[in-house]
Amino acid sequence: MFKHSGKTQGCHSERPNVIPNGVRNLFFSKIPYFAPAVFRHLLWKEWRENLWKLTFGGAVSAAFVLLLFRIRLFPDSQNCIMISFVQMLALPVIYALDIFSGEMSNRTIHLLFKFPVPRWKIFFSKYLISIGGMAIVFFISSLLMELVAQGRETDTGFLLKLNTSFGVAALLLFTWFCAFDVQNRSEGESLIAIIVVIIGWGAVFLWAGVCNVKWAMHFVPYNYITIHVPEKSFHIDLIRLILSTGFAAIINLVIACYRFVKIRRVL
Amino acid sequence: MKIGRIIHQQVMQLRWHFLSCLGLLMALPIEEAFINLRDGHGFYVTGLSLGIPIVVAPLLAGLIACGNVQADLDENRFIFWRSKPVGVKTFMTIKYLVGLFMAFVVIASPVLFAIISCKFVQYERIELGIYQAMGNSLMISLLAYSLCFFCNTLVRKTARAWLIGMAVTVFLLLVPFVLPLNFKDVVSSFRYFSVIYLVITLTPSLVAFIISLVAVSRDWHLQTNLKGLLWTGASLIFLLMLLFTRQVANIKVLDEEEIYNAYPRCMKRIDGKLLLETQSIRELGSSPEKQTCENFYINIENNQIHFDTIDDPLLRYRGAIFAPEASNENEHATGNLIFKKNDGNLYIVSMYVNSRRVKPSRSQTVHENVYLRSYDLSNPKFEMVSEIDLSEFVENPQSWPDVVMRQIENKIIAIVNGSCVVVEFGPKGQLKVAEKLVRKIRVGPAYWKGKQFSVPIVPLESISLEDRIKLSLDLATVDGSYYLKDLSARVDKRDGQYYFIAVSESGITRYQVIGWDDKFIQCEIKDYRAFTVLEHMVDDTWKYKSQYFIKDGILYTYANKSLVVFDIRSDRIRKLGHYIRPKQIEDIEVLDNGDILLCAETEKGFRIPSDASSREVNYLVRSGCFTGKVCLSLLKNPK
Repeated sequence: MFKHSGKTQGCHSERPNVIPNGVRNLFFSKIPYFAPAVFRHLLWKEWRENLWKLTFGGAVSAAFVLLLFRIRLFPDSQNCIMISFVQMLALPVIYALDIFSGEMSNRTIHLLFKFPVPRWKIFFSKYLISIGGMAIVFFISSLLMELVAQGRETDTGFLLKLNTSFGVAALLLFTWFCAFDVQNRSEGESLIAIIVVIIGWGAVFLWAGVCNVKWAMHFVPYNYITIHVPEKSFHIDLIRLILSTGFAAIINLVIACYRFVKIRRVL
Repeated sequence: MKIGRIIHQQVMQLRWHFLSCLGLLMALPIEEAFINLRDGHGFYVTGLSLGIPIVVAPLLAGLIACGNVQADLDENRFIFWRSKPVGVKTFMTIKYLVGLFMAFVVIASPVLFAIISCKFVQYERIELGIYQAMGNSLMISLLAYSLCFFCNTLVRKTARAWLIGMAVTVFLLLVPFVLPLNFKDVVSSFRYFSVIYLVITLTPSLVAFIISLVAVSRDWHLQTNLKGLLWTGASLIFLLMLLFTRQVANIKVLDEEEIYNAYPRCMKRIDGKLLLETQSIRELGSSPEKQTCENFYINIENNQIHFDTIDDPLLRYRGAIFAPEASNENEHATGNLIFKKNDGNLYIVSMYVNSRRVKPSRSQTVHENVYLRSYDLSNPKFEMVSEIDLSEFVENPQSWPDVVMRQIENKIIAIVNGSCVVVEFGPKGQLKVAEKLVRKIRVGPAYWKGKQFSVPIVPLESISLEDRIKLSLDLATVDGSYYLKDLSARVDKRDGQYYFIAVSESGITRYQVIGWDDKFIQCEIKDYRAFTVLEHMVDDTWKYKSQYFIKDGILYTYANKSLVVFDIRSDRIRKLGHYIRPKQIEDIEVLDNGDILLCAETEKGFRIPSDASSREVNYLVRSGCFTGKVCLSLLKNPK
């Protein structure tokens, strides 16, 4: 019934064709090889719904990168850290604020749940599009930083690496948000969940740092950014960062997915 | 309906908000207290963990405000409570006050906990800064609470109202930094600054509260969407940053050139050409070599910087062109002046202080001797031509002598600890004492009291009255610096009137000469321009006082990373431009067209070759010899 027929049908046919057909077919014709048709539609829906966040994040990041790297109020590495830090906090918040609660408050979650697709796939369609969007924004901004800076103060590639490490932290933060945010029914509740996570990170950071609890450090990715990125030595162990915090991310992802699957019909 | 019942209803309605916010704020202090207890110090908090609650407090105050209003502005409930026998305004006022009280209790809890716990374990030391930070936090929280309260009465969506409220709060708090307050920088005065912040927090809070009463009574409702809000917010922040940076980084760069593996030392005009002296660094080999000097001619064409190689090896490789090497390692050059004579030869005059460690402990250093020496630059051996011993003016060998040197045509004024020697510079570089004054020169701004004051004229016979006036005013501005470009560096004459500038760490003062007699110059303060908070933030303003000069009615002053340019031609000091680079500014030179050439040191990072031996690494670290570069920037005339 939902087998891919090679053409985009149904509700998509009546929408304004924002992306040229050639580009769309090139991209989405590859998806059936690894994703079923409904999941592909879900991805498309989430992509369309969250495209403005990508545009917003990309445009604002680019504007601030150009502004700060042009006037050079601070050294390039500090500019990069400032922009990346704001991105690390702001992008997950923007994505998490209404990605689940928006469906709840608009009551479209009922419609989604009626699709003949497991709920975990609905969750992952949202999750994947969100982290994909964030990754694109981080990639654009880091590339722009490198282009503008052109290795004038730091080694070529350092800013890209630094921004990417904050990007990894942002992805983990978003996963934390999902775990707390997934059953919320309004933006307000989501906001409270987000603040709880941010303060919780602070608590874990303080505790792990003061008491030297090494295993707890793995739950706080920014300890690697704040402690292990000296001002002049530009060595960032990205692999270590991903491996270290990846475990916490997987746990959070499982919790978030489980909570989403277990949403009851009390809306 | 009785007010007591409304208060009770509000308290019950807000109890979960209250408890959750309290829990969030108290989490870190309690955590720290438990850590202290575990370590055997007792159950107390001193301030380590209070920083985050103080910063987060305004956010939570806003959240309480939104939760407070939203609970009763839901469509059904709104109609319900409006049917109750209570006035809308009374109801909203009580709601506002109860919520505010609860927010303040939440915010004050961490600090109260810290005070009580310290008293309990009889631990005396609690950081005083915490109280001030707490006060600020309470004021900002009041503003955030009121604005969020107001926004929620209009928007009626918790998250959006909170976002808007916080954005407006941040905007209002940044206003004093962003406004073009150059006319009289009140923001740099702490007292005015506090008053401004009090006004900024209290007035909008009151206004927001009054308008929210009107909005609820008239049932105003504003439709919003998240996308629009975020775009507006981001645009606003971008605009703020543009304004913010405009104040401190607005001089345009025309060109930048770099020389790798070198450090800048200074720029000097010699024979009409501009020379840049750099300190080169040899590549690290098996045996580290000493640093060597290399000089370049700077050539500016079509706003492009070019480095021209100097053919004359004496000029090219001799760092001593600008600071002759002392005869032994205990001598320190304290400045130099360059003379060109009719025979075409260049001569340099430098002042030296000789220091030595006292035996047997060698822990104390004495500075007994001061010399004035001249050198012939065209001599390949670079031998000394003439020397004058000024050691008789050294009063206290234990402290470094105050030495000043100025050039007036072919005369050199050398001042050591208030004693002055006028030295004539002969045709072959010989130095000859023309006049000597023992302990009669007053250097420094110690007598600047009141709006009008008088500066004593330097009682020298061998220089003209005009030069004496200039020298006296120039010496009056000396405050820790002894190296100036020339005598007119701080004193200028405009429309037949002398004026001069003094830069302190707090600001710039413009003085006007209103008259003089044989002994004193009458001066008057014409204008004072304080450094703004932003200017204090971006660099160490105390360094401005030793690095400034006037050229064509424009004041140039620079510190580590920034150059600031002011127009001082009229009685009112006006800022023209500000240039910031994350580099160590070494020297600046103003070109004839008003463009500025800035010589700075920068580096790409501390790199030690992987094959360097421990001896080589030690050498590098001790000598500070790591890969660096000279950066020469051509800046556009800020006028």
